[in-house]
Amino acid sequence: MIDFVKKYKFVFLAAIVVIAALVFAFISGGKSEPPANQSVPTTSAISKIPMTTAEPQPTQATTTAATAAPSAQPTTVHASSKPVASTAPPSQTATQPPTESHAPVTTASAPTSKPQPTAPQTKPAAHHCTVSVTCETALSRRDTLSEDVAAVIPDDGSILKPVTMTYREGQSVFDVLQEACRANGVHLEFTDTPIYRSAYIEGIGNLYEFDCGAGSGWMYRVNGWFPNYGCSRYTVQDGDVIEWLYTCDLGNDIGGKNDYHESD
Amino acid sequence: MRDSFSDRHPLVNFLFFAAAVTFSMFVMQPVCLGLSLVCASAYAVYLNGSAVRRTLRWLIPTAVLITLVNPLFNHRGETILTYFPWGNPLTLESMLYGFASALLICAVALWFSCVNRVMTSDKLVFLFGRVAPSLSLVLSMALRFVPRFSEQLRQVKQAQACFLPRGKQHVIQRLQTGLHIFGIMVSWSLENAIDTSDSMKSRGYGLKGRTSYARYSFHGRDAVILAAILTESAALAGMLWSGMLRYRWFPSLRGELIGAPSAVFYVLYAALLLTPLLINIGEAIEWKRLRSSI
Repeated sequence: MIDFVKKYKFVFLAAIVVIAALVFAFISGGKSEPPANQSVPTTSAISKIPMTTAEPQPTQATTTAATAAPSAQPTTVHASSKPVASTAPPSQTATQPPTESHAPVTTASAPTSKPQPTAPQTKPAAHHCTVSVTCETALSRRDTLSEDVAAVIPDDGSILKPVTMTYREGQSVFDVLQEACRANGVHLEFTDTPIYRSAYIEGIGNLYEFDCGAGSGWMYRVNGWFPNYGCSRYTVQDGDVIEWLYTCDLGNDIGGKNDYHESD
Repeated sequence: MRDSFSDRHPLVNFLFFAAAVTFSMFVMQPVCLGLSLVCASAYAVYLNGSAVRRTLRWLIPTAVLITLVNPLFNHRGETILTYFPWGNPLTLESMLYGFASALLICAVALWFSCVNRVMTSDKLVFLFGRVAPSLSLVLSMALRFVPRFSEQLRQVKQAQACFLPRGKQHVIQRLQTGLHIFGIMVSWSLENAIDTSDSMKSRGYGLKGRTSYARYSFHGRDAVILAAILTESAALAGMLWSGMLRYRWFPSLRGELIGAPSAVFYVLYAALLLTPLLINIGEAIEWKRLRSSI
């Protein structure tokens, strides 16, 4: 047996080195930098995940970017954000986001997945969004809930009143929620695997998923639209109004009906 | 020290431990936890003397580990102390809850150390030999297995040490010897179990109409103690069912600790858990009285 080990010493060494490299990659890969986040909306838009973000002045953004870099080089990732449907009603955006209209826009900016250092200077640094957390659906059902759950629900159904948050470029809805909760002393529990950017909100203000039945949990709405993907995949845009809503019925009671559930 | 509770009928012993362990496991309320822990450790010390220290040697590190690990996975609670590097909060309530569950595990482990001393395998076979012959045999064999295994392991190790060359061995060689001994132990324990079951079968164990000698008889005293245990348990269960002992750990600690109804519960609970010690004290007093009257 000792001979066996001696003979394949290098094989064992190589295996250990490979495992160590993988472990290192797993750990360090967790800390993704904001510029790396930037690249994902373009790639996800190609894979037909709808990315309907409401840009307040989309035309202005593109023009300023164009003056800064008049060459044919495609500009910032902000230019890729959809200039249409900024004030569209929520139902419309929710039902038909992956239209063909903005597909060319995203493909145009796809080659520049790398962040451009000039971009932040051309844009005025006014990164603000609004975050609020409410549980009105749970409040209306308070009498049917157990004593312990009912004690958690505030009387006005608002766990976090709308607050204006300053965010850094490339931060996701999840990052902003976490910062807002910390700043206001609101309890927040989540599970998150940063390399997959799969943050899932389990409970806010000690009101947890499944507290009001099997179909209950936290959902988020941005400018009246329920994105059908995770909150750490949504990159916040300037002026976004982010609402975290508690649902008791898989989103049906707050207007965030999921298309996947409609099919089955 | 002689334990008079062990001399009582096995049914009394069994029902007492069943009640004590069940209530200790399901009443997660600070005062009741403390009561259970105190009574369990008092009885364990009475039974085992300083040998309890050996139990504590692994019990205390386990308790500390549970207390520390619980806040890592449980983030409920409204008192946020600080945040973990990965973003979830460290709450006071989760720490307290971890501490409480550590106490609970300590109490139950101590109760089981008493069970091991009092509920000998012949008592188990006596109680369940009729109802579930194979189960009680397996149970008594399993209880006997650990001490017998360690004794046999010691012997096999000694015998193996004779074969091996002296001096320090290579890690791989030691691993080989260990595996060898392990193989011997496995085949020994399997063979032993088969031998035991064959032997019991050839004696007609578990057959219909077979009687067995029992050195236990049910006295009037046993009936009194049994009735006491049953009424106390029923009263405690009823009070628990009514929900007045409810204690909330999350999101904030809340529950009535002091008050007339909870005081009644505490007294009943303490009376139930102290049954063996009270019997021993009663016997000691009786013995003194008899001796002085001579």
